[in-house]
Amino acid sequence: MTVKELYENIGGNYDEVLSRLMMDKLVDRFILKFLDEGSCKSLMAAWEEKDATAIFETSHAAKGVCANLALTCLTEPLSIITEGYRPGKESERDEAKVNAAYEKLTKVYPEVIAKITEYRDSK
Amino acid sequence: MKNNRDKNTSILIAGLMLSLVFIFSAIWLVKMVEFRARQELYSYGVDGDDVEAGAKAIKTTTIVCASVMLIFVLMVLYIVFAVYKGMRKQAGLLEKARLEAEEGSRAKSDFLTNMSHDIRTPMNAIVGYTHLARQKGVTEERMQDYLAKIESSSEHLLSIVNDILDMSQIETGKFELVETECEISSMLEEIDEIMRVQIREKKQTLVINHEGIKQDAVFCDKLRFNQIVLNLLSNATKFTPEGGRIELNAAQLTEAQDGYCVYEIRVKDNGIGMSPEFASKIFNPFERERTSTISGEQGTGLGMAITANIVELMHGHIDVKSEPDKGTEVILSISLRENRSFADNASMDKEETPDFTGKRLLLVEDNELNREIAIATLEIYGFVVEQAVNGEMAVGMVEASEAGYYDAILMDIQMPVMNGYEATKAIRALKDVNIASIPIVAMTANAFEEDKNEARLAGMNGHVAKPIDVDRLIGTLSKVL
Repeated sequence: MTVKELYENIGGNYDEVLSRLMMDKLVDRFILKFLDEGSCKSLMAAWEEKDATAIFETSHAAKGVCANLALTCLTEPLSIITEGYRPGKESERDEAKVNAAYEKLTKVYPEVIAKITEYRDSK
Repeated sequence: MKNNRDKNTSILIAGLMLSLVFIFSAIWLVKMVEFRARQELYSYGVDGDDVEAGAKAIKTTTIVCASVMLIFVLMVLYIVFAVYKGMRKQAGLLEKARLEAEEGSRAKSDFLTNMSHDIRTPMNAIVGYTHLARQKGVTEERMQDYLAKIESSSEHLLSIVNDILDMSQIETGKFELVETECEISSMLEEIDEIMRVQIREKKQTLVINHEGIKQDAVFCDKLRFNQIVLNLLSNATKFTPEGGRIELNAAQLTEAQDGYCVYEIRVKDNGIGMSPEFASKIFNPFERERTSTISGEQGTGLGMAITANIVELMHGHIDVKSEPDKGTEVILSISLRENRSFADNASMDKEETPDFTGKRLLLVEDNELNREIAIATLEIYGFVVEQAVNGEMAVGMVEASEAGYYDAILMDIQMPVMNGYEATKAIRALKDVNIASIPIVAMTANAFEEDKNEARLAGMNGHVAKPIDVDRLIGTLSKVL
């Protein structure tokens, strides 16, 4: 499997990440690093703790990483969670929408990790 | 102040004395009533025990009555004193207002007297020379001489009228600054040009130095800035003999704080100077007559007063140091709003690929993977990248660096310990102006107008939206470097 195929498989935007990193080799290096990147896991821990400040901080960090790697499938739900928990805008939070985004994240994130692991192991 | 305190003490003593008189009268009254009651009861043949009981009852009633009377009298006294005090206060205010009005009226009349005299002199010259010019048989040479004198008197009169208008606007609080985009170096260079003729006529040397200014682009009332500096320079020229030297040094004292920078302008000459007594009065209006007599120079005597007022409007300060026969130095500081150019998520120039080989960037970003991605991208373009994981660390690294070590800072906003805005403000407040003025580009996850404004207000030079778009990142860095 090529890294381009991996991106197509996990719902990422390969062209965008390539424009940022210029080389397949770098895309490959950073997508593998995503396996050890802990911000999505930290978000899940913060969600369990119901710690609003930590939810905002971790979702913001995770969104930044996923957007940099053009992992669109994760960036979208993370963006909704970040905006929902942005300090000072709590009153505008649409609980149902944010909860749905979180549910989507918990479903998609393990799939993405599994596919990247599969890609790593196939090399 | 002392009078008021004395009056208050007198009122207090009088009140105390009156209260004592009433208390002693009340005690005397009780004693008298008790004594008379006993006598009366005995005279009616009442028994001993009954006399004591009766006297006691009468005494108690009298004490109650006397106490009520005492309280009533004290209340009345209190009210009387309060009314009296209020009336005195009002009278004091009226007196103060009357004195102020008199002072204002005297100042106006002084102003009119001085100005009428000043206006009459050039007016007389204009009328006189016009009359002479109208006479028959005036030679061409003489005619030119009269016209030149009329022209110079008219110019002098116009400068007086302008000064009076400025001064009257200042006095009525209507004097306002009209700020436009300016560059201090260009304004000083224009002033240099304007002064050249005057300087050449007196064979003097004028040196204008503005190398100490980092933030050159500002918002400033150019007309008033010129007015201040030209006034200082023309005074220096007037009161410096032929062949003298005049220096103007402009420097930036602080980096921008809340968007404002403080600049200092020093105008120094080696002219006739002033006595300390006169130097202390130089910013008062109409303090001219004596100097004009001594130096033979003309002026309205309002120039320095107007200058001081404009400097004050520019949130500044003006001071003068002078010694007779040695020269004068005028030092003024003004606060001007910086006009910092802001590279807003700019695109790269498509024509040529920029090469930043050897340029050193400080990347401030808390997320490791994001840092690595940014470094990988930046290194492709030749940048040398150093990293900080939060704002506080970045401030420490910049402060410890030599000026010019870092070419720019790429600053994330949302970070633990210290965010990007706070870090930028801390860097801008560093003592070394050369380090404090390093270009800083914000990396924000949102490209909202409010984010850009906040970045601008914090003193940043540009903004790129995250996730990194190489075209815009490199384009923005090209603009600020």
